[in-house]
Amino acid sequence: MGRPPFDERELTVLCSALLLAVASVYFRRELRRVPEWPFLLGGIAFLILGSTSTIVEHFASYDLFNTIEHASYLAQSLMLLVWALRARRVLA
Amino acid sequence: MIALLEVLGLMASVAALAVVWRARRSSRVLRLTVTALLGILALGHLANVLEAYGFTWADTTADQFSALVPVMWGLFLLETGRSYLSERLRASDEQVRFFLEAVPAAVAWLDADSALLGYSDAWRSSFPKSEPGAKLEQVVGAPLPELGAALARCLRGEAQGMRPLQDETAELSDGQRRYFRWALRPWAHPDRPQPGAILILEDVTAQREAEARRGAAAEELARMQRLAHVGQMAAGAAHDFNNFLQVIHSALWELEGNPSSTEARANIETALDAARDLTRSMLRFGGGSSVQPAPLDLLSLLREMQGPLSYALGRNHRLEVSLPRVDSVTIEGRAPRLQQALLNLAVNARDAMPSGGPIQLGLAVEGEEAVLSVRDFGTGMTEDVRSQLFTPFFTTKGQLGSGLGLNVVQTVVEEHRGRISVESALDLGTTFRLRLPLSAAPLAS
Repeated sequence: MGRPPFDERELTVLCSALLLAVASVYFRRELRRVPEWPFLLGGIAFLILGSTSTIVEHFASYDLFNTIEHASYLAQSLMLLVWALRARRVLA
Repeated sequence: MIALLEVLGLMASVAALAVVWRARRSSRVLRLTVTALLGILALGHLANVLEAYGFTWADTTADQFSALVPVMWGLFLLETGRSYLSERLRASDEQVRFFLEAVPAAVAWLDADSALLGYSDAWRSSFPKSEPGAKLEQVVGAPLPELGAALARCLRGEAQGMRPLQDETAELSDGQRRYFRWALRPWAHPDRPQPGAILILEDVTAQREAEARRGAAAEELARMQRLAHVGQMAAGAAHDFNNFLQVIHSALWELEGNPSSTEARANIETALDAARDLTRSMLRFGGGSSVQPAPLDLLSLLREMQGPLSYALGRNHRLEVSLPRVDSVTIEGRAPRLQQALLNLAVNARDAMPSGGPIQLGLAVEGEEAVLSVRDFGTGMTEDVRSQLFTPFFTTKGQLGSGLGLNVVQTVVEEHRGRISVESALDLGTTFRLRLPLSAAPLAS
């Protein structure tokens, strides 16, 4: 698979994800009360890892970072699935 | 490989969507935000799958979906937090409502002008004049200056946390007294610019009056019990008086025959001295209980008590007194009350040994405490009896006991800021120890 050109939007996604992480840390006392919060935090962490890998893949080890990117997005979806399953007692 | 990861991601997103949509009780906004997030993720995964299978246009679409993901995360977190916190607030409101309706405490919320904002059902029952906006002093109908001062400090922001329960007596204009118990803490609400206060206020007048009546009745019973003991002692003393009279009679008879007999005169004086000492100690023992606490030598007290106690115990029981080899053991106390406590313990010891035996009365000094002990070698007591020992009106003597003796002992010990302990073993006996703080004050001459 060929290496696609660098897209500025990818940088925007990373910055937005980092902003989200900063907000999550800032409001950690409130967010800690959200049921099964660690899984949501894990989802955000994988979002940051994925969007970071999306940028890094343009500059080094494309195949490795491309795989990490897609694995991270998969992990992000899995985290949300586990959160939904565990938090449904509260949501239901 | 990439296609497999994306297919799995797509499946996970769709499964999460299904789980969230089955949770029907969650708020609609929460379901919409999580659906938007999971939908964007699912579409992103789908676009990547298509891209992996050669649909190059899907690459741009996947990037566009990716750009939306953090935004959707943010919206989702905001709504999740808001939804959960509002649920907690609702539950908390329910708890407070239940608390206000169910608990017997009279609780009220006051604003910065000490006017009522809200109150519990018990408050409304206690203070029928209550209505939102009414001033506290009008509602309570009694002057409570200490509460007023504490409330003012609270409203000025000078007090923090809950003040412990405090008792206050209100003097009404008609001379009546009412007793209150209150606790106060500052209360701030985001809707109100100035701090208010939460007040727990209880009118304990009826309770206090009942306690006073109960205390007076118990005191009267205790006084009657003491009189009964004094009667027992008087019976024993009468026997000794008879002995003294016999001595005097013999001496007089001898003087008739020999008017210059110094021995007969000496015998009369000795008998009269002994009778006078006995009378004095009996009078001291029967004295009232209203004496103020004063430096008191326990050594002298026990020496004076030996005679009267022996009479109270009767001839079958032998009083053994053990005193420390010191000049004095001084405490701050009231002699009549301590005499009464020791007499009660001695009589109990006697009753625990129906067939007679020794009763040991001891005094020792341990650290900063004087330790008075009364020991018998009688029937002892079970754990069940021991656990109820100081309960008023609990007795093992049936009609013969008032059930107040040990309660009086405990009260006396508490009056003297002391402690009481009991050791007992069935068929071996019982020891009571009264530990009283020593005093450094000099004894009155």
